[in-house]
Amino acid sequence: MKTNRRDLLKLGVAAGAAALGPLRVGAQETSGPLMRSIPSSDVRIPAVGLGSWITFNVGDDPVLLASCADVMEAFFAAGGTVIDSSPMYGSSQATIGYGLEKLNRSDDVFAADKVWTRDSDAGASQLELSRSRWGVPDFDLAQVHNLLAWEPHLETLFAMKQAGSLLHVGITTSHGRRHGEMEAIMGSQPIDFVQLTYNPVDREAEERLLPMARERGIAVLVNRPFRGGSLADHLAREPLPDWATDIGASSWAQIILKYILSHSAVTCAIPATTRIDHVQENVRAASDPLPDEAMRQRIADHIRSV
Amino acid sequence: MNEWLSYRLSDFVMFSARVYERQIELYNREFAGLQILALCLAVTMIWICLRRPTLANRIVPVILGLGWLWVAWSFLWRRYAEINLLAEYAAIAFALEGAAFLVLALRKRGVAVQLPSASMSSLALAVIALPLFFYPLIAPLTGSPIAAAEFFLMTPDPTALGTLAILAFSGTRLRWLLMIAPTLWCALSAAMLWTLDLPSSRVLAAALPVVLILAVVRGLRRTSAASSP
Ligand SMILES: NC(=O)c1ccc[n+]([C@@H]2O[C@H](COP(=O)([O-])OP(=O)(O)OC[C@H]3O[C@@H](n4cnc5c(N)ncnc54)[C@H](OP(=O)(O)O)[C@@H]3O)[C@@H](O)[C@H]2O)c1
Repeated sequence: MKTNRRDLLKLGVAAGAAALGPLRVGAQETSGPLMRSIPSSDVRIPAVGLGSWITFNVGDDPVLLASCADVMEAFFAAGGTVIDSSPMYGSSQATIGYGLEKLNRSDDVFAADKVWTRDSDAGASQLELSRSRWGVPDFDLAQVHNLLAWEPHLETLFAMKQAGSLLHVGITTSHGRRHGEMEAIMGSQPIDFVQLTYNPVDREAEERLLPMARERGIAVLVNRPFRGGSLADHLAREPLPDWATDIGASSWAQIILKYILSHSAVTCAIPATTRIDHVQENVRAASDPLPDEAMRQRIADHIRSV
Repeated sequence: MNEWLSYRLSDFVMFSARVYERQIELYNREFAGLQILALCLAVTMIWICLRRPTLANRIVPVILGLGWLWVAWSFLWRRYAEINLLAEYAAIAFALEGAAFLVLALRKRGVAVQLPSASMSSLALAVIALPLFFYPLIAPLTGSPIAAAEFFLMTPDPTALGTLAILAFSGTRLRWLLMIAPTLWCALSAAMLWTLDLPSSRVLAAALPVVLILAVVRGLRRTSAASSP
């Protein structure tokens, strides 16, 4: 029987799981994307993942399902593993399931999903439905989406983690919403992950949430790195600055992602895309060199000025 | 920060323009041929209204009722709900509207449509012809595949707009109630599709107030005619 990362983690062998890595290509960490450790489990994941809001909500359209699977194939081939979804994203979970089955990657993915229901008692059943859509044995991460009914849902998720059917527990927000409540939860609950919006324009998280995550050993997933695409679209009209080469960036998207990843509290950014070239470019951004403090300031100033 | 103020309409639109158009294409392919039937029904409806007004009182609500039920099940429930969480609720509203039309068909006066035949103004003509006959042209005229054409009695937007146009010429007092669901749908759909830059949203957004104003003006005229000595 194949022993994978999930089995080891369930047995509580975090170090062994970390050594095995989250994916096949994880074995060749030197040539793959930059990896980051999840503080609470020591599991290492690539620093750029894949979101699925809008981009993977394609219904039963065979043409678009196939093109999403192509994006996933390029993502895995580039060394990516972390995929994020939610029951709120229409058919995205089923699209991911389709891609994982087609590519035979169900054991390799770091599956991050969410609980999104007002019904306090429906968390476990919703997660089970989501799991069956993904076609994975378990989720690596389950997050309470937008803090909706977070108290009962966290209780459910912690119980699942305790029972070994879930590896990590988290909470999410976006667009800078409800940071005060996030902070309170981060300070009082033993969560493994937070997910929030962070990019060179939306920097509110730098004030309290990111420092707190670092302090308390909470991994950070970054959503909306391109502000839903509008930031990347806006910058596409601007010439790439000369200093982009100093940080090994060949596009605005890579400058943005490198800015995000250069914050020491950030574990992984999860841009969404419908394009193979974009997914490759995004995963490639998880590489050294990353901007230092002076360069970070320069990036933020420059982007704000355009 | 007031959390609700931080939301924009685009935050609720969970699919892309391409996905929406592809869903229409797949739907048209799945029910290929029904578009012709839908057009024939639209022609029949107008013909009956002009030539057999008494018959129209019952036939029009039957066609509209079946059309709304069909759109509710075949498009909103089975297809659109896959990519749009709101579509499930919309399907229920469309089904209720369809049922209401069918119940109305049982009444003697039905929806009492009176199209002003000879003197039909060009505005009135346009208001009716656009959703019933010209809506399918929007896709090919704006660079989308003809397969993505939307038909009255097949997809929700032209069905709701066409229903409003017909109700604008109806004499039944219940028309104001019957106009609620199509009005809400047109406004919601126009707003959603506008965020995706879909050309049909511009047409829908422009036509909706025109139809509503026409309905109000005709309503006022009818009231003043009834109260004149
Ligand atoms: N509350 C929450 O939990 C929450 C909220 C928001 C988001 N999220 C998660 O975070 C993920 C990311 O956020 P998002 O999807 O809203 O926004 P995003 O990742 O900032 O933007 C996605 C858009 O960026 C474009 N893009 C991607 N790579 C690009 C590149 N290399 N160059 C130029 N454009 C590029 C894509 O267009 P193309 O298709 O053309 O590449 C896509 O339309 C979501 O998919 C979701 O999984 C969670």
